[in-house]
Order: sequence, then structure tokens, then C-alpha cells
Amino acid sequence: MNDSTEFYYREELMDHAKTPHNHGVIKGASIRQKETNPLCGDEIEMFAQVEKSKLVEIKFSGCGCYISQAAASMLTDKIRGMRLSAITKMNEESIMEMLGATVTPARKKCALLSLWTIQKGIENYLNVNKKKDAKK
Amino acid sequence: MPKISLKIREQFPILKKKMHGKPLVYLDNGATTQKPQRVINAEKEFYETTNANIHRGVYELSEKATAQYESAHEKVASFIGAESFKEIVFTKNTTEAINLVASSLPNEIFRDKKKILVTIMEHHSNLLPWQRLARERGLVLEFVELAQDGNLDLVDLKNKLNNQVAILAVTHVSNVLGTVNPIDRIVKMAHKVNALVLVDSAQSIARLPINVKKNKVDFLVFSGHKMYGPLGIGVLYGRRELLEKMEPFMLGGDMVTTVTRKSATWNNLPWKFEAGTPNIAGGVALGMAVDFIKSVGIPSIWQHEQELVEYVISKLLEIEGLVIVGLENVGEHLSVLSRGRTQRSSPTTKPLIRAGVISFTVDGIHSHDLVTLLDAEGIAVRAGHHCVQPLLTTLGIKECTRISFSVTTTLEELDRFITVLGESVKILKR
Repeated sequence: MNDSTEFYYREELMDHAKTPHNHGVIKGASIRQKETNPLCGDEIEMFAQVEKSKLVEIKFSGCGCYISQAAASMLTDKIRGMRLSAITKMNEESIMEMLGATVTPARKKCALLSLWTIQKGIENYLNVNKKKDAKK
Repeated sequence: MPKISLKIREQFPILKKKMHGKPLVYLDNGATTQKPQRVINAEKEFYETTNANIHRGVYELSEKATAQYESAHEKVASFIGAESFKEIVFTKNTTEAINLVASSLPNEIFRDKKKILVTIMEHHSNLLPWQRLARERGLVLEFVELAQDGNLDLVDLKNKLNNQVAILAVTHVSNVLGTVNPIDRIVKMAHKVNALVLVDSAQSIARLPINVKKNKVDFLVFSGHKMYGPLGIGVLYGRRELLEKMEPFMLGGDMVTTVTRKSATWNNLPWKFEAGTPNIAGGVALGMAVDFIKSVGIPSIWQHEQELVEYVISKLLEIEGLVIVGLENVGEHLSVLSRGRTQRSSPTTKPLIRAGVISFTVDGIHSHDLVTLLDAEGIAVRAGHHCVQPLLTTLGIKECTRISFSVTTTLEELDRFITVLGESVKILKR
């Protein structure tokens, strides 16, 4: 084992990777967003329910490498109940801190795919709502 | 036939490097081969002793640079059996060469034609330019599918090749499956219905013999960096008669004879297609890469690779849950492996031939996780979709791991790879 493979030796991370939390779909979700990892073509789709600017429920679907699955599992646990504005402020550092293991530069995309997906979903959700408000 | 000696491997300085404290085992030659010292020196020496712009300088240094650059075209022409260096256009890479052809084909070849034919095993670079051309010209883009044994389905090819087809774009060796397409036969079939053929030789140029004149190939494209040459230089071979009829791809310096305020006339071949200052040093070093391959000999390289292919396939199949991409349908028929050919139990079927490009999946394991573990042991292999998403979709997979060999690959390296692969699979399946 060295720094670059630490991830695969951490039991709690591999548990998330193999049996990810919050895997599934939400019918009629306020946010539904799909993104692709250009490296391997892996897709992740996020479903989230929003109430009063808070993300009250979240699920994800799609399969991928262990790093992407563990990150999605942990991220969905973490952001449930958070304000949308706080989620949009999260960055690479937040994800690395959450994982607590080194990820090689080439694999950062795998670790960050779920964050990018939910952030893109929130951005689209807010834009749509802005337009609705403008029409009122 | 001389065996590949370890002395050849010693000519590659990067292979002495350690990765994560372990000897580098480089098995990603399909992405780019490493470079022998003489190729590196050729590029370096050009800058140290001959650097000047070509064709326009009427002084000795420029004349020398011009002579070396033109001589590299001649070396490539002779290497692939072209009639003249006029048929050899240096491009940036294979991708640019294909884009050049797709953008510059004369209108007359589309007269009374309704189709462009590609195969399902094409790299995105030999698909996307044709997708766009079909859209622009209102043509139908059709795919030749795979047969059960992972080879190109020649019956399907025959069915789809009719006088409606303007051009067939086909790879010589698949960059994922390692399958070898019978180019001479395919060209004959296409020419019977008056269709042109572009052969993507990126994966075959450094391992299989190619003679464009004998095989009557219309266009052949390849990259220098996948044949022990430098990055940033590629080749388009085009039959002279076709290149003469084609309009230049890019306009600018060196590709003209006279220019007025309103118009211009084009330079002779191949310079008509080499607008602007080209990669002169890269071209010169590509000539050296051709010399290197010739010195080793294509038959020796092919034989060396076949020994590696035979060995690694037998070892890979011992790993539980591992499936070789393109061989899954015939996996149960694999009986013995001999002389680099995978013999099948049925005597009526042909033996499988695979170039030194092998892809595989391991049940329940993502290729990127596998590659990270291999990398930690100094082993460089490729993971992901390998720029052939339609092929992988057809095969029902999203990604896979690929190993690809070169003249420097040894059995010892493959042993190390197989050991670490086995250990990695265990770690990931724990």
C-alpha cells in the first residue's frame, strides 16, 4: 500500500463503495441531474427534494468505480438537510476532506463527479425558479 | 527470423525509470510507444545543428533542413510502398489526417452515392469526421458489425457494400480488440463497387506489413508517436490521382505557387496539404523511427508480439471473473494456444489472430480502480472507454482495461503484470 492506494485499504470507504447509501431514485424530484465522467463514460444521476431552500431528501443512481461510488454515498449522507447555498459552496477540498484519503490527480474526477452533478442540478433548479419568480 | 533482443530494449531510456520505487512496466503502447535514443537524438540534433525553416530559405542551413524533411517523406513512402514521396503528407497525427480527407474529398466521388461506411470498431477519430460529412452531404452513415468471434463481420460488410457507398473507413487493427482486419480483401470488395477505402493504420503501422500500392489502398493514415517516433507528427498517404483532385485542407504559407489579391494557385504535392511551417524536427525524427523499425524488422516484431499475446491470454484466462473483450463469445471454445494463435476446438473455424492489444473486464471491478492499483506497482495500463464508445455499447460494457505491447515488452514484464493483476483483483473483491 502507498498513498495512492490508501483508499482501497480503508474499510469504511470500501463499505460505502460496495454498498453505497442513498442509491435509488426519487419520483417527481425537484432536482434531477445527470452528468458523465469523460474519463470512462460513467454516468451518475442525482435526485433531490427541496423544501424552503434546503435539500431534504437525496438519492443517486448509476454505477461506476469504487471512488465515485464511495464519494456519492458519503456526499449524499452529508448534504441531506443542508441549505442549497452551502452545498454550492463545497469544493474539491471539501470532498477530499470528506473522503479522508489521498486520490491521485487522474482519479479526482471520479471523486468529484457526484458533487459536480448535484451542484449543476441546484444551479438549474435555481435558474428555473428565478424565471418562474420573474414571470409572477 | 532474428529474435527481439534485450539490446533493443536498452535503447529506450525511459524504461530505466522507476515508478513509485518499482521498475516501470509500460503496457500502454497503443496510446503511445516509448522512443528509442536515436529518435530522441534525431529531434535534438535537428535543433542543435540544422534548425531553419524549409523551402523558402536560399541559404545552406535552410537547404539542409529542407533536404532532411523531404528525405523523411521519402523514407515513409518507401516504408509503406507508396509510389512517390508526393503521396506522403505530414500531418499533426492520425486524427488530422482523417479530418483532412473527410474535409477535402472531391465532389465527384459523391456523385450518385448515398452512403459512407465505417465499422463498429473505429476509434472516435475515424468516426466523428464521417458523422459530420454524412450530415453535411445528406448521406447515410452505416456500420459494419462484429462477427461472433470478435472479428469484423465480412458477410455484413459484403451486404452493406454496394455502389451507393462513396467511401469505406476501416481500421487495420482494432485499438481495443486487437483484431486484424484483412485489408487486401476489404479493399478488393470495396473497389468492386467503386467505393474508396481509407485505412486507419495507427495501431498496425509498427507491427504489420503494409504495402499501399500492392494492396491498392486509397488512403492510409497513422501517427508517428505510435511507431516509436515523436509526438505531433502523423502521416496521410493518398493515392496521387486522388490527392491531385482534392482541395487543400488548410490555406496559408508554403502551400501556394502564386498569390494575387483575389486568388491563388496551389503548390505541388505533397506541399499543397502542408500549409504553414510544419513540425520539421518531428518529421526528421519520424524518418529515424522508420529506420528503427526497419532495423528490427516488422516480421520479427510481429512474431515477438504473438509470443506475448499467446502467453498473456492463457494467463489472463486463469483469473476468475476475467473476460477478454471480443473473445467472450468464443471463450468456451478456446482449447489450446499455440504459436501465437488461439486455436479453437472446432476444426472448421479459422484460428483467431490478435495483435498485441488486449482488453478485458473483471466481473464487479471497474477498470479505473484496477489501474490505480497497478500504477502503484509501476505498471502502466489503460482504462476507460478507449475512444470507442459505440463499440463498447454494442458489446454491452462501458469501460475496460487494456494492455498493449511493443518491441520492448518482455515475458518477465507480463509475469509481473499478471501477478500484480491477480493481487489487485483480490484486494478489490475483498
